[in-house]
Amino acid sequence: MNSFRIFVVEDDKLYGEALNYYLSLNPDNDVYWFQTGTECLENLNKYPSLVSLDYKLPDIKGSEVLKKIKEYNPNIPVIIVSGQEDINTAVNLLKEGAYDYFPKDKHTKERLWNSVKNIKKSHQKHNISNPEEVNNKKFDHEEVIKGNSSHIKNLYKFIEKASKTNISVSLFGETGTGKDLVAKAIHYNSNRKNYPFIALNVTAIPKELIESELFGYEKGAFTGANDRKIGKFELANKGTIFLDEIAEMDLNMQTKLLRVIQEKELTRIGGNETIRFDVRIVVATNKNLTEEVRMGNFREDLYYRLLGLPIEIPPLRNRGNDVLLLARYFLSKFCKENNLKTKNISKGAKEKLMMYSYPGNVRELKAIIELSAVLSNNGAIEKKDISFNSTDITDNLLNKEDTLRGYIQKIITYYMQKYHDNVPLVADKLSMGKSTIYRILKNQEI
Amino acid sequence: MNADKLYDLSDITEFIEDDDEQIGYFVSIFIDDVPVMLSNINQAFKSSEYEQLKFHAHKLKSSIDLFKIKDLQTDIRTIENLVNEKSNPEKLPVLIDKLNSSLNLAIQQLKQDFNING
Repeated sequence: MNSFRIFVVEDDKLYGEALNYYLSLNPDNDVYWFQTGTECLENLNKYPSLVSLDYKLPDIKGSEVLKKIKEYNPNIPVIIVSGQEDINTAVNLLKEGAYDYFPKDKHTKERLWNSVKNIKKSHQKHNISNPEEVNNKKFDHEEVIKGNSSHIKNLYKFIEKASKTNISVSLFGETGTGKDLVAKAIHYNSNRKNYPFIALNVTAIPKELIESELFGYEKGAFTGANDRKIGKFELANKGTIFLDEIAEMDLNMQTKLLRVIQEKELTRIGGNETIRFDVRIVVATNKNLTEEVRMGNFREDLYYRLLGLPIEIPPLRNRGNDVLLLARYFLSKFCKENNLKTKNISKGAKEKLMMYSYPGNVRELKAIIELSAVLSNNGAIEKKDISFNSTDITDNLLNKEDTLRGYIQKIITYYMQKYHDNVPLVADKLSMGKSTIYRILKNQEI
Repeated sequence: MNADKLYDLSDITEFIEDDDEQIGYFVSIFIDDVPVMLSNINQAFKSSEYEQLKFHAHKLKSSIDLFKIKDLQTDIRTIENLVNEKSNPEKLPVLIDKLNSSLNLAIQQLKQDFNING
């Protein structure tokens, strides 16, 4: 789990120590205590999830520290905890972007604790990761998106190109090909990596709610809007927003999105304030967007605005031996995570894996391998341990160009599986000699 | 707690979730830091540096509140307000004297109750 990093900025030793002690009672909190505003500002690269800031500091005024934190990253919530019992000061600080304002009294700790709880919930809801932790994982796309095929090598080149600029990126690929991983790889290898990566799957949100998810709303904007909500575009400021399944967005919302992207500013629902943002947009779809435009389902002007650098993510069935490379990777990972002895993949199992078309792509392969590791009774994954959800093994036959010899091998392998390795029966079914079948199986190189 | 005690640890104890081992630590911080704060206030008052006086009085306020030194909770706010509003400066010497004597007495009581030497 990501730790929740809290900066306590408090020059009073007694109060600072008490806050530090109290907040550290929750082991998920990673509390840093600074006695000056300067120390706090110098440590902003540690990506605090929350700053508890004393208004009166010996070196810099609290309002100045607040301003500098907001300039560094407007998404860091700052709570002013102060002995200043002046309502005007509180109102001004809230206007300047403070998340909340608490006077130092006996209710401070409950208020702070509740705020920490609410901000944590919001982080979980928006799936916000601590950027430093993600960066520390060295988001190396060649490590995350595994493969040796020419298709994947080509994809790496596109990711590098996209990472070097702020161009919009459109990702095209079937379900399960890893479009989200490519989007993250672009973000975490770009100069926006220290800012948020915010993802939204258009199909996961009811269409009547998508505008409020993207642009936010003000308190009282509609029934049930009990608090202000910050939208995804604002949350992603200076970072990247990833809009998955963009082709599913309805036309009315497409018009609003186009206007916001063109103007680089938005207004929360029910609000008057114009909010400028700086966001790199990555979109993804498994549909043919050109075709969607032709059919009138997708606005042409939005299509050109979002297209930017189009990147095609290859389906697994076109990636040749990447299937085995990924299978070994998923198997080793699964065994490690579940304290199982390392297993190999038998020749028969490899052949079977290579014969399948993987309509669910890498995601499906991962599930197949994990199940096979569970079903396997010894140190190797055998053919019998591999079970596919789809039996469309023949679909794969013409999905990829092959030599005649290759096609023959695949057909024989398929029939051997179907008739449980009964060579005479297979020979009869294919009107071939048994010796020919034995010879082809013997020479098969997978 | 005794009626003649100037301090009351119920707030600080609640703040640190009744951790008895920690309470001694917070008492020692109070004993170490409050005399320094008092000295800053006295120095600022003596040299008529009212911005400094306001700042240090403000800082001392949270320690007085955390240790619930009821005798001084109103006085420390009065000092802060008088300096802030630049009014009735003649009231300051009496209030600052009381601040010194009450805090010194509270520190003595704490040292005695927690068996702290020095």
